[in-house]
Amino acid sequence: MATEQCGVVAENPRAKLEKFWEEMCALVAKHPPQDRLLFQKMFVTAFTTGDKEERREAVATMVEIVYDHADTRAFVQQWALGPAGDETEVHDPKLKQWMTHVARVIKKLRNDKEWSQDDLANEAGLTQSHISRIENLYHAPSHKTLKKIAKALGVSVGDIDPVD
Amino acid sequence: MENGQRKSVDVALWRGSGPEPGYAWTVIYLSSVWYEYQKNFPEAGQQEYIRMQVRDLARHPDPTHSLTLSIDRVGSFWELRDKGGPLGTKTNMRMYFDFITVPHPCIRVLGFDDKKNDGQIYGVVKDRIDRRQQKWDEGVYPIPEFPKRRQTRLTEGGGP
Repeated sequence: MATEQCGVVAENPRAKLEKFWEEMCALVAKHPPQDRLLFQKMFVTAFTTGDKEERREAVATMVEIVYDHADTRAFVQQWALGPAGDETEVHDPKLKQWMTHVARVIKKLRNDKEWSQDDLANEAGLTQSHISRIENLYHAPSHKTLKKIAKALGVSVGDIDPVD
Repeated sequence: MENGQRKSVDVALWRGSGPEPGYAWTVIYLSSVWYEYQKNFPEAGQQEYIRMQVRDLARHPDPTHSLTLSIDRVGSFWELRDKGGPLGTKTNMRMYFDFITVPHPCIRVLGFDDKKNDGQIYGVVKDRIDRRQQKWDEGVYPIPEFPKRRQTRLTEGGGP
């Protein structure tokens, strides 16, 4: 379907969209009904939302429904979290640097207050072993943990986490 | 397999492994989750940091209530939220997961996302994760075989 404008044959935008819609529907024609419905819902969201991130996510869901992600086992092995021994070593230098900084600051602030790890754990609502693992670089604390520790020590998260 | 596609489920860590007393849960994840993890968190430091949080999660007897991690319920699954630190200032990490207890206590990682703001999960993402969960429950994704040696360490109190 086409319309003639100023002597140029241009495609009708609505017809173009309808054709695109038909092509899209054909992609999921053999999928289960619930997948087809979800696909339609995503299609509408992708075309109506003003939020770029939401549109990206809607399209990602459409792609997943159509292709159902082929196996990526060859790469998956690299994500394996590994045996216990892995926990004693931090591999990434930047992460190690961050953890070292955070551990040093927490230890210093704790010592300034003359608190033991147990004292800090009690004040922060954590366990002593968790504090120990952070100070000994076995674990990188989450944002929630840092907030608790910072509050207990009477400082802001930014005083401990150089990135915050 | 649906649509002739091969799907896989892999094991991130085994229940009973890790430092004493061992992880309380085995962590398994879909192959597509690996893709999201790589795409959203491309830096090695981010990935190692996230692995540490997943290990921490697997230590919890009840991962829905954590002293150290931000966990929120989203419909029929849960989300682990984190930000700042090694993730960077503009990254809001979300990991979506649920649990199965049969044939083995597992945390099923259903998806990863890097949300650009602190807001709630988008409906389209929730629908996507719901779909994965439903497909998994329908048996589209195979459950890995669990070695008996690792299954019994916690339940029988023995060593590996």
